[in-house]
Amino acid sequence: MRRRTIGRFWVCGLALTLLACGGDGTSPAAGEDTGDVPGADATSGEDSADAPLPNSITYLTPTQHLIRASTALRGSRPSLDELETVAADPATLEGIVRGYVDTEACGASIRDLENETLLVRSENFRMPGNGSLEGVQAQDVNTAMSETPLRTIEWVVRQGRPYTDILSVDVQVANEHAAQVWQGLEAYDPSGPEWQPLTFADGRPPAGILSDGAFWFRHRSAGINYHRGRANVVARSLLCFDYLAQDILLEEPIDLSDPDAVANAVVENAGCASCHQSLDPLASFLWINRQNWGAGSLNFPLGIYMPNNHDQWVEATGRAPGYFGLGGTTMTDLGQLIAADPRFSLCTARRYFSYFAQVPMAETTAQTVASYQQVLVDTGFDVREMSVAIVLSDAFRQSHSSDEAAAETLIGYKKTRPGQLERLFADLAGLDWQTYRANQFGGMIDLLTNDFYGFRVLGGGIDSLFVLKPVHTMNSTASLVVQEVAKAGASQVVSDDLALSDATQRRLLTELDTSDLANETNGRAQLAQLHLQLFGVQEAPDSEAVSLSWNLFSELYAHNGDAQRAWALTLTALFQDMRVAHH
Amino acid sequence: MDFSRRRFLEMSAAASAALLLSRTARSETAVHPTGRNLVIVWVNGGWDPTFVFDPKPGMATVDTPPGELQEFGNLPVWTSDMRPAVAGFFQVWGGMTSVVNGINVPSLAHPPCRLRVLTGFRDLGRPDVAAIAAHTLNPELPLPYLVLGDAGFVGPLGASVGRVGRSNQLKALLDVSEAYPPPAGQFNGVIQPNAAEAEFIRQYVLANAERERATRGARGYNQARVNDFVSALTRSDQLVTKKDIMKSGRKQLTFQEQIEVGVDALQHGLSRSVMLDGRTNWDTHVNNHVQGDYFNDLFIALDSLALELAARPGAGTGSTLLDETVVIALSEMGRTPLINGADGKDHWPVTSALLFGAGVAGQRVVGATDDFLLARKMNMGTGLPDAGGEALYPENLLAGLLELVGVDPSAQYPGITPLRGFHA
Repeated sequence: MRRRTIGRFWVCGLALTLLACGGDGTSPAAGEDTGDVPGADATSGEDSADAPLPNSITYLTPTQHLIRASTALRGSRPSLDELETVAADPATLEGIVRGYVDTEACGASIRDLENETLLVRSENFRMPGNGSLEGVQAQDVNTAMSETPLRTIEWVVRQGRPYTDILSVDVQVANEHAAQVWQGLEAYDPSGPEWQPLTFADGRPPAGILSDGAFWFRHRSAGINYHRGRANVVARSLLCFDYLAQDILLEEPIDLSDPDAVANAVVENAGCASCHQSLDPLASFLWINRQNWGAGSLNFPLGIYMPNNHDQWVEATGRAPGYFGLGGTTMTDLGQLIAADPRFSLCTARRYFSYFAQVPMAETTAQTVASYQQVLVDTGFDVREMSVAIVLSDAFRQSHSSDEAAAETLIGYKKTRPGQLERLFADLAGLDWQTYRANQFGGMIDLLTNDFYGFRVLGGGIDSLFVLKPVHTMNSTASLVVQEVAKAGASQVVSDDLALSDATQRRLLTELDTSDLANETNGRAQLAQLHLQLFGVQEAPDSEAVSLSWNLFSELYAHNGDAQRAWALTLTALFQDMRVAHH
Repeated sequence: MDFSRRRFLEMSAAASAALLLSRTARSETAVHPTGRNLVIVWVNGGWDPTFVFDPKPGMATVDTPPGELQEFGNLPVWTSDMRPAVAGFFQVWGGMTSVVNGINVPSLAHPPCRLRVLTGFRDLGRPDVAAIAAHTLNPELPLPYLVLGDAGFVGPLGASVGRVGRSNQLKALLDVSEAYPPPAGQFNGVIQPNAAEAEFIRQYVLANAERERATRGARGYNQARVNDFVSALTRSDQLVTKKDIMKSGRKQLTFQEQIEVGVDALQHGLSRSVMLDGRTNWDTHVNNHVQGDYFNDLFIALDSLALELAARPGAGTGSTLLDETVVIALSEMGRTPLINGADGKDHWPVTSALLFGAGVAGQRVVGATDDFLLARKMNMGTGLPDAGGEALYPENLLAGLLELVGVDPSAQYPGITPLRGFHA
């Protein structure tokens, strides 16, 4: 091996090696979705909330709006009662929507939303349980160990605590398996709820998700990276500030294979120092977290807290912990500094608006989200209130525009995400779309929210590793996913419901008489009800739309002579409708 | 992998036979009036171009792996008996192969480099070059851009991109016999419509979509979403009819299986662009010498890909699929000139690319690096180093690649000079 310094150089950029390898090298890329590409189909545009909304815009009806809000917040559809109530009195919509944010389903949506930023649900790491988890299946281990930061955020939100607490609480929310994966937590109570807030018991400075091993396990730091990649993850995720969103242009001689040369450059070279003067101090907070895990060290439980490393920044970069010019020492300090930074509240508002409205982050300007940020701040950082403000806004309830130019940039249809489809079919049809993979990397697989075996990415979701942006339009694989889950859901709910003679006990098909399934009056009433529940449209039983559905049932029944089968297939068609695939 | 001299001779003979056969064979083929197919072979983690593409023998400034300089026409390649597939590939396919050296990737982290090399941009909302090509040339195909590995960026062109999944789970959606069974004890009575019933359902769904188009979906963004929804239904049907192209599911596809599926997809009108990914992690901060083995495996795969393409009939009369397909092998970054303290090499913001196939100049090196592996400026038209020329960035390469496959790059890369040095 030779070691020497290269005589001259051209580039420099920051953290070179540094920002470079986040261990697995899969940290999210720079920047955000900027939407449209010249010459491509129009798929995104300026958020019309940026400017006064033009008169050409048509808004959703109250029932359609309720469906969109419910889908965004919970995934599931509103109840029939809620839809009928809003149809009769649109003023009731706000109160109903407020009720959604305290539901478990909304908690699941918040976890989905937060994962699109934190990217912890990566299934790249899969191993069967060992050590403290001997005998536990890989799927259960993988899901549990990566989910804890998302669960902690959900817990903070649903407890009604300020959102800033995600950076300060002294707990990590864990289930039975996660509690065994991560060292340093108080004992899990087997008699308690599945997911429990477990206090850190190893003396680590509390900083909410920043103290969570799962966050740092996903975003690892190679030895010479000195936690800089992690610092950028913090800045990108929580401040919407991405150090990697700029070119690295070095103009001084540097040997990137020589740590000493790099260390000198990030201080002395102006091009490097412009970023490193704030990045490196940020990274210096993080030394108490284990940097990486080699293949031989993946034995459970996993430790994250390494208190003896707290001052290793002295040897590494020589830059004391600091937050954009402000002093601090511990992870607790870091959490508090971020929480107090106005960029944190603005970034939170941007992320939530972008997720709910499916507007690319890069197009959610400060002006667009300022009102939501204000709600967040005014309510003591209650993201439930901010979420309600977003889904009740005019920007969110836009349907379409009669003006060609406005229509190009108006994002009307929101594509239903795979996780939302999962909750929708669980609620409407009682469907758990799962399979069981009996191998060492398997276990029970939720087909709509799994990437390794399931269809999350094929349905337009992210895998948190390579696919980092959801796809908000249909393609042939997403279409197949919808078609298949529609069949499964329809088959199940028809089978279940029609086994119950008491219609009031049924989940969906409450208008059908099992002794006369082909009765037209009942059938049309059932279909009108389904049109309201699925599409948010009130239709008379003899309307054109319901007649179209009734004709479908009639054709199917005439074809196969089996009314129950005909209902299952009719429902399959309704579930495949564009207004289910979008909302 | 073993790649002996005997294998090389077998390969050469096979290639010749395939080339000969392919010019007479005819079977079901896609009919594409314009443009060329594009195959991206993705090398994840950052390769070390000095192992093959960018020989730096005898330089004090660059730690070079053991080997020897071998000339294939005008194409100098660093070869070694330790990685015989490299020389084997260039011996057979060098006549239609160009190497591009000195591509600046102005970052040192994997994600932004990956993004920049594949899309030409820094922001995550952009499609990669294969998505652009497929979407522009044949958006009506079932899977215009087939992603068989993990990488790939779709931007706003999601309607034109399809992934098979980490375990090739697409097959479970295409073939009822491979559908995932529910767990024991759960509902297991999914009703599969027969053909007539499926048609009733389809007509109903389409009718409602048309009602949407007439109201909310009459214009702009919404109209595009209705179009995508309707188109996806049709294209998913076509995909199902071509399900045999897909390998049996429930396991990750090997590199070789990806090649077979990808070439089948091109031949049978499933796709215009394909992304392949051997899923080897080339990020050799430790033990950089393993890149020799990685390159050997890579060139075995490239040889196999070329053979497959050459053995299939193309859409044009008398042509093979290889005559109509451009292949590019890319990695997001290079490695440092010097070995680090762990016998590895770290990230380097200059990389190389290899291209072969239709319209690619043979035995040509485009661009160059200096004695420090820094990119030299060049003439984008000729590809020759030129101190008064331009610095080569991925967007130049990608714009030139789009031109080669028949897509005007000016809309995607306005103001960018296309690199044409590798055009035949």
